Amino acid sequence: MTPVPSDTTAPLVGTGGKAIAMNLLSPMTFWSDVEKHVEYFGLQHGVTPQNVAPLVQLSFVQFARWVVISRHGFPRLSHDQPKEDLEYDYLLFASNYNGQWDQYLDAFSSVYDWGLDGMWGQGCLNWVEAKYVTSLKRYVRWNQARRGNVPTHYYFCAYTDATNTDIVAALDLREKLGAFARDTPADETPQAFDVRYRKLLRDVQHSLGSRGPSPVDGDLLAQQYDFVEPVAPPPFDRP
Amino acid sequence: MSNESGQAYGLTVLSPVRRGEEEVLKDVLARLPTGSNAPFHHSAITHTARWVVVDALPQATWPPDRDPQGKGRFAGDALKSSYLLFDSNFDAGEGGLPSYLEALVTGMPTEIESIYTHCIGYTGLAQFAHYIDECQIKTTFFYSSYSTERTGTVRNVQAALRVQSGFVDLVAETQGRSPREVQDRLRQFFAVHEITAPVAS
Repeated sequence: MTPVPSDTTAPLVGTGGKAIAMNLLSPMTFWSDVEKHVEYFGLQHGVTPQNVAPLVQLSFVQFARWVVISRHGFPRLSHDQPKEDLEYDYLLFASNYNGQWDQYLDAFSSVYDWGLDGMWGQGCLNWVEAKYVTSLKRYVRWNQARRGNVPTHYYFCAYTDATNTDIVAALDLREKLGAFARDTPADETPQAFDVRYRKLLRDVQHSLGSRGPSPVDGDLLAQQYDFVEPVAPPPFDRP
Repeated sequence: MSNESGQAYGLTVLSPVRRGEEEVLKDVLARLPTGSNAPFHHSAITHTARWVVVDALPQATWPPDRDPQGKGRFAGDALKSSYLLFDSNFDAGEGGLPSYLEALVTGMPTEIESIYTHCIGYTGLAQFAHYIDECQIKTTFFYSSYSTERTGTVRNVQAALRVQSGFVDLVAETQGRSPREVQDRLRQFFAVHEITAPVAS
């Protein structure tokens, strides 16, 4: 593939309302080490994770997955289908997040660079430490599964007007309202109710807010920016 | 199982695309309804889903100190077929993946047929579950922000979002009202939204 000059500063967009997709396919040299490391990181340290606590705290990632695909792992379902002859294994990363991708990567570079290094740093070619955000963004653009500014050919999110933060807040509010209802005495006086209600409002104030349209119109941006080839490849020289 | 996190399931599928039908498939995907008209709403158990046609694999670069010619070079793989990546995050429930695939076949048969008819090995809706089983790639690590708990299903999230909007309106409307008026209003609100206890209880 011929390298091309750096593209515009056009952002990556999705068509899932406030949710945006990212798909990366990263060539790897030592898939078994990566698989073990990802699985170890995820399963033994990650499920309740102080190691993924930053992901929770950043609060704009709804779902994410890492999938190790071996060089022999691309399905071959017919003898007429040419057999792949791949030199590398691949790490597929699929994410659903809110906000713009620049902000997304800036945040990860600042807060969770060690987590990204833990996932990609063991065997993924051309990985540079995630604390170097410019290199990180270049790596992400270069390793997209679909080149250009529209990361998917079709994207669906069940909540078109809600971010991950909205959803977490709404679920928390629902639980607190449920507890309030459950704990309401049958003969509660208005005065006693007022005391409990005011406490409820204090407890849920951070879960109250209105949801509006997405500040980033993914479809409009996709129309404004033509499909472009990726940016310059990862640098030959390490920082 | 790494495909699952609590009650949520992360499905990853790679399906080879019939040679010469890649652009037609992309056109089919581009024409699928999105937003509130998306066919995934019929089953109401899919949080997010995507299709991506993978035509090529990213190339790596070798730095000059690893290149015999000292200049740096590209190295990588060329796919002989394109592949359709399907990624879905859904509520596994008691039926797990088989029930989900059945829900897709039932809820969006036209869309499933129009997409996968362009994929090698697909033989029709009746064999869709078997086909997906052949094409599924095991997820190595799956992260979900809110759907691992029983309360985080699609239906519960959508209900919670409606409750949130309604409660914000209620708080605004009842400012300055007497405690009895607020008490009555809140009682009506709970009745409308069927709130008697926490969902997790």
